Amino acid sequence: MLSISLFLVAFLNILLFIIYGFSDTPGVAYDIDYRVEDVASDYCGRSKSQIYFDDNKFEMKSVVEEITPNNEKLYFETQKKGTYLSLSENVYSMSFTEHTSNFIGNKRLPETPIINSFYSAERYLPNRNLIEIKHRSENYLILISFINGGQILALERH
Amino acid sequence: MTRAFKVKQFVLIEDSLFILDSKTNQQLRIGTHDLLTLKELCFHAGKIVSKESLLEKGWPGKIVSDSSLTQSIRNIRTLLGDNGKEQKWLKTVPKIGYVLDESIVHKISNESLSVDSYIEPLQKEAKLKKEIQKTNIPRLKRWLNCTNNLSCGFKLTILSLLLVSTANLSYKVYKLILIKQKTTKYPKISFAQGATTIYSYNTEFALEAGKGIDDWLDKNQMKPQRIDVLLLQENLSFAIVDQQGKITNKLILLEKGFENKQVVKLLVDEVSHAFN
Repeated sequence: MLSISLFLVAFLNILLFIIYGFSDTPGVAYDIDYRVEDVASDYCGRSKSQIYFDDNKFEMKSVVEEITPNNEKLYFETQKKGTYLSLSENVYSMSFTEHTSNFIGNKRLPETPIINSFYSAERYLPNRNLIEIKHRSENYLILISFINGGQILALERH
Repeated sequence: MTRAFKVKQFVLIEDSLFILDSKTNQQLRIGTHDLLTLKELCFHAGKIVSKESLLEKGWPGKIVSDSSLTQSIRNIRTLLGDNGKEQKWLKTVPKIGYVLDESIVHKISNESLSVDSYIEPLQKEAKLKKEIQKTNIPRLKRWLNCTNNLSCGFKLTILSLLLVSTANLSYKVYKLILIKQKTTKYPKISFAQGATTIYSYNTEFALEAGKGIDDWLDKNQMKPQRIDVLLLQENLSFAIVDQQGKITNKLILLEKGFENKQVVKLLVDEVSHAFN
């Protein structure tokens, strides 16, 4: 399962994401790169994103590669836009307003974990997409995100 | 005390704008000036009432010509069944004024039952009139219980301010509750030692996993900047920032019923793999 090699198909372009409090200066961009594995199957996936925060708005561009338990490779690109609201010092609520996707080579929406998480109806519900920042440094940010039902992530600052 | 007169079959009450026909027991509405003039003539029945006095009482605060009074006298005569030619009850005193025959005027005592019976329907009528007027007041004014635009505007402004502040307060309370609910969505720190921080509702797992990772780091002399782990019911995720600042993020989808020991072993293996 783990031996399946995963490659990113496309490069990330722009991930614009602004959250007041993520940084003292507006217009901050971060890279997010994570892998997903399932202990119960041969599924595995990888997502690379760039997110840019500016003036209570964000833009995020992601590239996802997923390999199903049937060894079917799925590629997926998505660009999201939205707004964020600071609920407290380290807690932010994100609202998605725009979503464009490209299922490379796939005519229907795959039901795989990462893509499902991107397309979950919760993404479009208010106050469901919470982020809790756990650590800030000059070069990176540690946060617990709503992604994949709750995931801790380290974001590398540009 | 209210004064009332009965002129032939007509009952006049000082404060009323109506007269009552005692024969038919119906109320009649005659012109305001005619009524005021007739009342003045009744007050001085049998005496000459000057034109000036009648004009003053019949058209209070107004300056009108004699022709208005002449017309009013004509109307009163018609009401009483009289006319200018015969002048049976209302006589003209040339160049001076008019006199109403006192034989047809009877003063009615206010205390007597009879006057009450006259007054009551008039009062009822007046009350009904007031209610009709009241129903003509716009609903908002009636609801605000105000009479003029200024007091209505003031009351409406106060009411609007109260509504806005209530809505604002409700929204803030709702938001606070919502924030509290949402901020408790993710687990708090259940293990923190050195570079390792674990967030989990399962403290037993957190302690075992934290110890396991620390042991491995010590054994292999690794000094990462941070290792952050989050364990939810079926999600195990970690973020590692190594000594050089290289970042590794991973999410492992767990099976239901995974035991702590299995998860700890899996996590330590993954961490060691990330450093190799």
